[in-house]
Amino acid sequence: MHTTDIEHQIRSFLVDNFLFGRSDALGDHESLLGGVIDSTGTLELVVFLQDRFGLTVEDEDVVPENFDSIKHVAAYVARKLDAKACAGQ
Amino acid sequence: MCGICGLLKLDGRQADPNQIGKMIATLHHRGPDARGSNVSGCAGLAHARLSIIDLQSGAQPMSTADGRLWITFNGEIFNYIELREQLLSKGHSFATRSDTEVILNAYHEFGEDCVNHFNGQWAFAIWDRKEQKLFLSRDRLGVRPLFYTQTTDSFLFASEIKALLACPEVPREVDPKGMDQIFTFWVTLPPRTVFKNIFQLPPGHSLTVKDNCVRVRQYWSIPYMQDGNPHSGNEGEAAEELLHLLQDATRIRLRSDVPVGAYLSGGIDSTVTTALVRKLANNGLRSFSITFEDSEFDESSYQREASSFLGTQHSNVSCSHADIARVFSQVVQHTEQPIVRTAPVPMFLLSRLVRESGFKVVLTGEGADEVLGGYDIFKEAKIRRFWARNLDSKWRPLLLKRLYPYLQDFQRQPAANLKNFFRVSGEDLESPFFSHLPRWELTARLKLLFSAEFRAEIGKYDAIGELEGALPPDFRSWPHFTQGEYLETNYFLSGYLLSSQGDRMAMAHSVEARYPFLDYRVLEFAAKLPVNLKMKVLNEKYLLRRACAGLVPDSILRRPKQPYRAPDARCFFDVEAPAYVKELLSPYAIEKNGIFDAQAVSALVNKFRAGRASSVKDDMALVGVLSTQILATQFTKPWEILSEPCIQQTSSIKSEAFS
Repeated sequence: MHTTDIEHQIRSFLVDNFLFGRSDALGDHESLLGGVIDSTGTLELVVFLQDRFGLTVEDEDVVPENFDSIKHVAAYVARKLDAKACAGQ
Repeated sequence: MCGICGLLKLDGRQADPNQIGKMIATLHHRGPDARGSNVSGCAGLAHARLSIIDLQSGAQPMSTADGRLWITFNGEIFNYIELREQLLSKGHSFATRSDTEVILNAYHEFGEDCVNHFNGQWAFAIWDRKEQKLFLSRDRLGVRPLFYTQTTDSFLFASEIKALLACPEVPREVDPKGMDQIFTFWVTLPPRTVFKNIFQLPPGHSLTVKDNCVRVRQYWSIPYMQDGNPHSGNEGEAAEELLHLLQDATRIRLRSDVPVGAYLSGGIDSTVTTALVRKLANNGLRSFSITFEDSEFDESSYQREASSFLGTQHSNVSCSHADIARVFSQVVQHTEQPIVRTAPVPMFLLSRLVRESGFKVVLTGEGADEVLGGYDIFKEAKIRRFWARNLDSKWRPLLLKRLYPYLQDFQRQPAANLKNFFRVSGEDLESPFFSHLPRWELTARLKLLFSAEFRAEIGKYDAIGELEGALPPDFRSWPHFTQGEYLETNYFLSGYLLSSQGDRMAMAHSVEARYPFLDYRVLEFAAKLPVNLKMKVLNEKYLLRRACAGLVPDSILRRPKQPYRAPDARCFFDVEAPAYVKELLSPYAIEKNGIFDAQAVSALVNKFRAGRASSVKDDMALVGVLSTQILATQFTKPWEILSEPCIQQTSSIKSEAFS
């Protein structure tokens, strides 16, 4: 899956779930944690990523390096998908 | 306890008795026992009375024997007996046994400084015919409300905004800046309200109108850091002094010519006040509480334990999701400002229980958390600061788990989540609002729901910046804990807890609440206490627990804190939710009021309908939108409906005798 497509899906989920549909309120590099997403929201995002992309998100993965912006989350998902694909080959 | 209102014609013409009559009629719920008005030239005062002291001769408006001073007064001056003696010795005479006449004579003796002699909760207006001066005053913490406005030819004031809106010349417009403040702080910053050109007299302030000039003056503030003179005694002495002060604060709050009851929530604060009442009045004390069908919020086992220990005759009212949805619109008519939580609703049901049980006066434990260091927000700030000193620490953020043991969702989260949510930046650490930023930033996210037009009206207005400009000059040098206390007590306590959740909910059913923890002597004592006697490490209300050991059951003294909360937005999506909820949240109604974006609200509503809403923010957003819609819709309609006493019976009342 292309990173842009991943980004698009994540963006749609965030806008619908946390920004009341206001897509103008979310920049690609905007910090998500503690701002866009509240504490229970992080769990919602994790559940979404697991369901949508078939990943397992470990507790220790929920760190700013992976979750702080749409770009970070998309890159994290792409890495996990790559790893999964490699493991499956 | 009563409702007051009045007006002053600034053009010198005679005040219109009909206009005053219309205003006071909207305040019937505050004073159903009697109604009176007086027009004296260009000034008119009116009063709706809830008779509590001097039932026979305390009618208002009241004047001095010479007819020079006229007063309309809402509240109680608890030290009126001592003041009366003092004034008698100075040669004043009294025709009644009321505290109202004590105010009149004190004003005569001390002028505007009379308020410094009062220990109580008040909002009053005095018209001085000789000086042609109107004097308004509001108690130190704003327990009693007082609003005012000015039109082209009149100055008008009242206990509630609805009385001002009864005058056709007063505009009925939402103030975008007031809304911006509510959707940041949960309160407006006095004197602002959510209505344009309608103001509240800030707590601890007086106002005069003379020669068409309005002057507002602060006569008291909480003396944090004021004289640099901390409490000098040791811990034992401080505990003894606190208990002594609380006993006396309770004693003078039992002064009443009608029976006094007590709210008993099952927490330490109301158990302490009930225990103090029990010691002073050893008769069949009645206590009252709310129980919840939803076990997450229910504290009835602690209530039973406290009632049994103290030997009170206890009654409770059960509050279900359906009850909250059913009475929410009535509640908002009384709060007169949007609310982002449903917590006032059960207080509305509780005051009805009290009233239907034949009581007009209750003592409550409100204020202990603010005054004596009980709030989690203080604890949260302490942990965040502690962690910030070593951000790489693996175990420091785990302390966050000690916060909010009662929040089930919160406890289920991995530490990593909490760490992200509560993470601290260097910029935050420098902020004078460090303790409150997480709450304000979360609430401010709700502003995303505002429509483009409404956002344009708000423009670049910065609510937090305005608050910063209003802080005491040396605020930044205060201890962090004291900064948090100041923000919580100065703004949240008076603007929300004592109004939306306090006076308005009690007075909706003509019940007067009295607060021993908010006696100004307790506040002045507590302001001088070393911080570690309020919160010792992470033990909240440390000194109170020490002072009151033995007075209350050990299990209640030691129980983990469970702040009072109520089920939120999900109440409005049960199958039996009333029709008004759907109507007011419809795109048509949202667009009609123009405050919110219809598409954004629909997205939120759909999330709830689909059962996908689970966050605190979504809950607050839905409750905030619905309450705003109720308010915006109601205030464009005639207010007369509010003058009808509420007779709808919606909840079951149970009486239990444990004694």
